[in-house]
Amino acid sequence: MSSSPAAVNRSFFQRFLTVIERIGNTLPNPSTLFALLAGLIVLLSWVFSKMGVTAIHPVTQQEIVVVNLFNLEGLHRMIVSVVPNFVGFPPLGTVLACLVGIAVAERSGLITAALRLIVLAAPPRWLAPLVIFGGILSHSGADVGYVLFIPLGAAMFHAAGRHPLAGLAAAFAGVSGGFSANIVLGTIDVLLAGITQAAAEVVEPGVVIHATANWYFLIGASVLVTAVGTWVTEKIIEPRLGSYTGAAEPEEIKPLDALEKRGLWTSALATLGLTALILWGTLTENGFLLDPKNPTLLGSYFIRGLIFFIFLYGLVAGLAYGLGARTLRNDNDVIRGMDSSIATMASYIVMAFFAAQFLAYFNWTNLGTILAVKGAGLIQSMNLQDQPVVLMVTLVFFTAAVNLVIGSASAKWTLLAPIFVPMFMLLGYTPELVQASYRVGDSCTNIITPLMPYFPLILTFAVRYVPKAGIGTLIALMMPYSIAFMISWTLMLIGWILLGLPVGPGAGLIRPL
Amino acid sequence: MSNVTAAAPASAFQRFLTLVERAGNALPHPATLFVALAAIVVLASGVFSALGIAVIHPTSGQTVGAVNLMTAAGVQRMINELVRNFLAYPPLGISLACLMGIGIAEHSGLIGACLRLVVLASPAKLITPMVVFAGVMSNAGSEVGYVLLTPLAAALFHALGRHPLLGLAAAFAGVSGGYSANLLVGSVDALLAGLSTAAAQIVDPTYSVATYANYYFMAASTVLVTVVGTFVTEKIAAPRLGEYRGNTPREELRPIGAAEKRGLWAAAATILILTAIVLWGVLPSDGFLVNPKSPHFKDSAFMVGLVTFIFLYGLLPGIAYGVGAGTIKNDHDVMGGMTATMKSMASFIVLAFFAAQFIAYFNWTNLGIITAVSGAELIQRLGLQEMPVLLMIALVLFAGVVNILISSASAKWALLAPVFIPMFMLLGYSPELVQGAFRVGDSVTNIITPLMSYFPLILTFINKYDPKAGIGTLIATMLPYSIAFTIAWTLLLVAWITLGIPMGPDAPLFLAR
Repeated sequence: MSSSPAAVNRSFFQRFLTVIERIGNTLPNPSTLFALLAGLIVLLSWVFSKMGVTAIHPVTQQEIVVVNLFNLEGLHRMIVSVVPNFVGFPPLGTVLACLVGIAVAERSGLITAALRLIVLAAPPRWLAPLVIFGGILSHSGADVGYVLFIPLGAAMFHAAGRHPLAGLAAAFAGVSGGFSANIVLGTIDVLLAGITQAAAEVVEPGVVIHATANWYFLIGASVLVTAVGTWVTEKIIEPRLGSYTGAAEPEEIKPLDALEKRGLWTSALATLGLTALILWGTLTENGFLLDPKNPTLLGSYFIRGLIFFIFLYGLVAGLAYGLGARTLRNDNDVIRGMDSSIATMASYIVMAFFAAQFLAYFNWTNLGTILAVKGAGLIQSMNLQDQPVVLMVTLVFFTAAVNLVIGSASAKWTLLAPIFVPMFMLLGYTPELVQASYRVGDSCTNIITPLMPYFPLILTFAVRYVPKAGIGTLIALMMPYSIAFMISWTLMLIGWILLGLPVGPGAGLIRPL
Repeated sequence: MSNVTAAAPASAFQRFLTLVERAGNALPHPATLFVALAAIVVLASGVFSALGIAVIHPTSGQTVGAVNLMTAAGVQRMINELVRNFLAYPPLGISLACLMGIGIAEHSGLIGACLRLVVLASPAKLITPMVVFAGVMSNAGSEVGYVLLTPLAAALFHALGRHPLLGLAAAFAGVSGGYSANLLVGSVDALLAGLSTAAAQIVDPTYSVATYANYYFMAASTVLVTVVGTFVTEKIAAPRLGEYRGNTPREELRPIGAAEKRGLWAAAATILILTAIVLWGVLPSDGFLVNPKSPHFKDSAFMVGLVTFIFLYGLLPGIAYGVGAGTIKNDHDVMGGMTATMKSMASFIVLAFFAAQFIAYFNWTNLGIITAVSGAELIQRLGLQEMPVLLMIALVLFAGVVNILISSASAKWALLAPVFIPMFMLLGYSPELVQGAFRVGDSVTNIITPLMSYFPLILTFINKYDPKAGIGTLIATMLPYSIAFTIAWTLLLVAWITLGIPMGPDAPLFLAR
């Protein structure tokens, strides 16, 4: 009895997802779409600037006007900024630089050997949680998860005989949908705490917000995202995708032979050596990777130059494997491997070219900033002051909506913190709690917005397995995660508030008024 | 008799070139070589900084010492700027953006049809001088010649049944070896004139060097480079390269079909309309592409954003041809064409990644500046003041040598002008003449130095026809041009001085005493 309504519900939901996929895929080529969106932004900037839409910036108190791009000045700016926009598109350099190193690990056979090792060792039940949890852990390494981990998730599922897109979706959900969840603190915690502190000082001068402000909550969220993500992958996504019938060949799961084992050993040794070197550089006093002005691990050149180290780890571990397993004979093999890896990124480079123009235009217009400030003002005027939990949930949903258009966590918080942090502080809630609510909304909708800078990259990965996959396929694939994360994470937040648990060390929920 | 004597030295020279090629190609893969060069720069920086080598910067008067990169700070800088070096490497963004547009013209079949049209219509004898001349003139459009003209010339020669590398060499010789020559005054003229003025004012505070200071000399040089370039192509490079035996299929020289004719008409109409729009935008003083703050043509949005227009001139006529000829059906075909082009650029991206690091490291060390300044001092102390023509030749050769290390014309002249201009002015020679002599040296060695930032790009183009070609092939192919240009151009300069012809309008050779 209980199963049949669930089945009906699910099939209704699946039909809904299919509709989203169809609509999304009738859209033109993603690159064309970004070009069209860029055109649309130009028109919108004209409309809204003619309407005289403005907002007051909560920090600087200056008036923000919509910058009209539909004039000569806008045209000149677009013409001369094509190349700067392109090379200034943040993911481009990260993706290509990481890939040049990872290519060596891929070409030498290290990655496939390691994949087989994992798939042979891990029980199938553990695969999905493993992939999602790995995605969450990758947050400490900034955007590395997108470049390295998501294609790996797809390959692992594929190797295990499951649909590669399910693995891709699970990894993407962990990396991006669970963006705020983490066990280890990262640079983003430092950034957000700084912004929160500046906003809190409006009410309480001298208040200090630590980078650890949301640590407990984020650890709880890691468990939640892993559990919910696994459930969505296995109960919604895999039934939806069915078995994989595409042309991509899975990695054959045969046991490792002697050469491969030797390669893995040399690779492990090289990785250990490199890690020891980095630890020596970051943990010892006056280590060569420490910034003398800010001698902490988070301020070190290891964290700031993480892309360099991803590149280096891929290169060193890959070379060591290749020499041990005799798969790389000379430098030509290595460079050819890099060439072919970059060649697989060709469609991404084209997409990045257009997406970069679109994002730059959007930022020039100030439309995102004005939208955020106006919306925050609207929530303030809704008179929900008596129901703080409702207000907190509104904050989560509003953040999630703004996140569809402004991807950057710190840019969004810079706009929202000065409005919400003082507002909730005056109601008796701590800045740490407000920041935690914000971060829930900041995560869930990352995976369904084509404006997220890495969205085109994930699409490129998906197309490797399903050549016909479009924006619609990816959005329909990720929508269940987004909804499930949104509901469960909000419930967890409410539960946290009701139980009165601290969100981080020394970060209570209620502040004495 | 003359035949025999001509053949004997040629064959010794050819054997020498073969040796250069062998030695060059015995080197590892170009990307590996850039890594090795970067490592050498780091080592050299340690050695030279330990030796305490330093010079006085001629303009700022400050002491410039070798910066040691073998320190914690040096390693940190390399880590931190890995991605920035890569993205800020000028050829990367420019080449990729241009080629995305040109790629459409190529994949729609427009370029192939045009090539056949040119080959069928023009006499074969005129092709080589045409290519060299177009290369020289392309410098008016900054670095477009490298991206557009060199691959086109290779395809053109290939279609003619000649060796594609021959066409590439002829175009590269024109674009880069004849860098200073032109019939038009370009942005580099303005830059150099500014530097010359500043240096001349050390001696005569009222002296001013005009942008067109070298116009007569450079116009004559255009003819010289075209003639000498054609001679080298036909007499030295062609016999050396022989017949093309690679695998790249030739454009079949069948007559233009009906669909192709329709496509060509559509493309021609598009080009006309686009050109009309551009002209309408730049010619009237309030045109929509004119910069209101500086209504010069060179400051217009058309010239500043030339890459954008290259992109459009490739994209729009390409699409028009494709729609007319039936080779493009929807936007997926367009984006697919761009993707295919980016795929072919993968090895360039890898090469650029490493070359960019090497060039950045070299610039950080100050080794280029130190070489230039100490070399200039050496020439000053040679005691050649009595023989100004010899001194002038020494300047040409010295500029040629420094050019192997510092390829930017303005960066080099900023260092050399304050040394040489006052020195020659005190001997009675005008700054315009000194600048002219410098520019000869600044051009001729561009084509044989791997430090020239477009060198990796040209190498990538060569590899399309000859996958085994390395740095050695390219240097050996270009060396005859470099030598011939140096000799012929120096002779032209000496003749110019001997005949007493002014370098440009209002630019005499000698200072009025």
